[in-house]
Amino acid sequence: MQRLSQIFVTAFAFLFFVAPVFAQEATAGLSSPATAVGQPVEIVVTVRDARSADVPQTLAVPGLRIELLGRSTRFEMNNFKINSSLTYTYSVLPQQAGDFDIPAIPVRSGDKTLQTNPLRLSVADAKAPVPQQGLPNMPSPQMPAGGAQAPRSNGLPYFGELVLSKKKAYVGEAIPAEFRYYFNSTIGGEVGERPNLVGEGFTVQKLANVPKREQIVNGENYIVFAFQTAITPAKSGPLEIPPAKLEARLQLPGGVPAGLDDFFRQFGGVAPPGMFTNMQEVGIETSPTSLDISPLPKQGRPDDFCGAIGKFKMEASVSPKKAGPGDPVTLRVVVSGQGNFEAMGAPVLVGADEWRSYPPSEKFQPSDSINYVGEKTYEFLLVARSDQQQTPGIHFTYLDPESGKYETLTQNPLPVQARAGQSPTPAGEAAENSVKDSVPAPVATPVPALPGQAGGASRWTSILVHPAFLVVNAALGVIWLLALSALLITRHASSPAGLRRKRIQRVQNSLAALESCPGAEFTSRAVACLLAALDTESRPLNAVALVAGLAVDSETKSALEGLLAREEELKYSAGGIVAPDSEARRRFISALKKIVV
Amino acid sequence: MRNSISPGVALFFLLVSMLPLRSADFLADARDRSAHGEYESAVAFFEKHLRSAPPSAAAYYELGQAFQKSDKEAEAALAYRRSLLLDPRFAPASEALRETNAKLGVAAAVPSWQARLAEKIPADPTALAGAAAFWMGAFVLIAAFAIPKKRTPLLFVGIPFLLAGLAACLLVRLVDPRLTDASQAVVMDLAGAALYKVPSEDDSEKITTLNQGSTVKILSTRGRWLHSELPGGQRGWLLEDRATPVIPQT
Repeated sequence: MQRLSQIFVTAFAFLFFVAPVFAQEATAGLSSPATAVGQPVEIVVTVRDARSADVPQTLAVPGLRIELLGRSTRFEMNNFKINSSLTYTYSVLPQQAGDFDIPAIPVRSGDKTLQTNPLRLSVADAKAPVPQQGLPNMPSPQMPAGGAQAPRSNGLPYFGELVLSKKKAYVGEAIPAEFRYYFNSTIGGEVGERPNLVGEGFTVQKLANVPKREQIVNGENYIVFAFQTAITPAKSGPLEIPPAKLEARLQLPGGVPAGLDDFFRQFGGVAPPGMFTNMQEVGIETSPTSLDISPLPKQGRPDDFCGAIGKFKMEASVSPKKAGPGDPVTLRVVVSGQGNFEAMGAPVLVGADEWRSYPPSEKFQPSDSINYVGEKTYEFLLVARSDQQQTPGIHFTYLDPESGKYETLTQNPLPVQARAGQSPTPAGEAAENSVKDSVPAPVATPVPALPGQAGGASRWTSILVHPAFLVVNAALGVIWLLALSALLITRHASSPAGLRRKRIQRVQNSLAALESCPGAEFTSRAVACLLAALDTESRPLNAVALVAGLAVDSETKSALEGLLAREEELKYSAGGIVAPDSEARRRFISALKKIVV
Repeated sequence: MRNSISPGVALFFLLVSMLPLRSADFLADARDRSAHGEYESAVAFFEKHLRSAPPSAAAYYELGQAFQKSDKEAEAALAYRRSLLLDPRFAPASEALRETNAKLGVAAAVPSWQARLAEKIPADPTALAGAAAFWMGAFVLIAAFAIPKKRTPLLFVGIPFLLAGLAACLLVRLVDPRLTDASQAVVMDLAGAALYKVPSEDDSEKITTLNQGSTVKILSTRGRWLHSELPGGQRGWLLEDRATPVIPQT
């Protein structure tokens, strides 16, 4: 047993001294993100896993006086892991109104310098109500006097609250709301994706996550998970917003596990608080909240009221400024501000009798996460019935919830040059007539040319890629290539080179036949072969002169001259010439081969 | 041997001979119903006619009118687009498409130079004439080489014909909407269609939502996703079942 105690003490000491080395972190939180001039708030800087740290005594933020008040040290034990944290408290005294950014505070711990998160403080005039934190800044007289109310923790490790921008509203009005869930920073765990809110008599926008933040509540540091939305009442009278439940799995303080009681009894009785924790599934609920919902005032409600409730302004533009006959122009109307953008209707065109107009397209560009602030663009397509110099005017009526009165925004006609279409289609005219008269009159449909009767293609593929077109063109291409080839071959054959090649072929054939010809015919055939080789047909010189001009050796030249002389003798003698012997034939043939090659 | 026709062959010839008749019947029925205000049934008969006969700009125009009178603006816009694809010079379809687009809230695209030229040039006749001129010029050039004595006048005739024919074919290639707009598709869903940066239905990747009747150019296909380009040049991914090709898929 003694050995077991030693092991526990060693492990305890190890955790105590070694664990703080890891995961040092410095965070800062404001006791309230909004205050008024002269009303001090606090900044609490928490340095986790550190036993000593240096922080600045004052912070220089123009308009705020920030001074260090004091420091405290805190040790926590969770399942044998000991965490120590230092807490430094600053006093912030606002000296003027405005929004102030408090920069990150440098914290020196050992050889490291940590930086806290920057903070933002809204300071109102001393007389003005402090705005609700986190919600759109609604100028609402229905806001509870005193503005932001500090949440009441009552020492709980976690709790929820619903913050509404107003408690009185009209049916159909969008009311920005924020569901907040506070978790003491000493407990860990996991938080559900979003709270569950089910109720009747109102609709809720999709919940938007707000980045989690830290907040000091009654001197305790809490992590705040918040979700923003807009609640729209659907009926008049008192409206109850039921609790919104957020599921979470939290590591909450628990009892000493069975079997370890004896161990702790040895060290004086009980285990240190927070030493053991249990993972528990909990549901955190906001408190139910009541709203007073009024019906829309009937007095002063214009006929063209389109359901818009809030504060809006309107701008309009037209494009193009010049439109051809029958071409549409686009009248773009931008309604911006804050209110129930999703439920409101389009502005109304005034003096649009000479225009054909169609239901406008809508596009909403929100500036916040709950679609409460932003701008909505309506695009009217207009086609002039007759030539026009200006667009129709525009009216947009909304209910101002602050005053409870209807306001109408007016846009004067914009200059444009639009020409009427030359001949509106019978279809379009017929549709309009049917709407006007509510009598389905038969319409004389223009009967256009039918397939095969007039222009227009009768297939989806262009003729350029039609198989028949491609085949015909390919065939023509082949014929063209064949014709070109034939032409080139003919021209090549009748060219000097072609003729020369033909002549050489002829001479070579004669030479081949010469070797086996009878002796009596040898001389005449050899001379014929020589004359062909010398091309005497196209050259006017006689054969002797041509032989004399040949660039061959003297032996060849004399053999050829001898051949010509024998031919002369053969021509003019009375038949006494003997056939050349085999040696002479070989010499003549050799000489002829030399000039042919 | 006795000459005889089998019953199967006789039935085949009978069916073949009836085909044009049925197509004409469908068209007559469609027009009759349209004239009596029965537009929805007229649509069915126009569609039957277009399935059994070659497509025509006129039939698609009449189909578009029947759709329009049945309050089906997007279908009407698609029919008018198909009519204009077959005959870009068909002014009634052009006017009707403009009206329909206005009702759908679809901005009219600025006509490109190809579209403006297509309204002036009959594509198929121009292509045929161009091909004929090209080959005439080509064969005249052959003749010019074959007859040296008449080479110069033949070259003066052949080269212009060849170049003019080539230019005509190239022009048709550039302006014929059946080639230039072959990859277009129209958003038919009443709720429009979401265009995403990547082929995934992740809302954070959504670029915009296209209105019903919007036209996109399909660049490529990946599974059930279409890589598309908007008229302004922006590209994104669209689910295949959200867009209908302008050229019907057979």
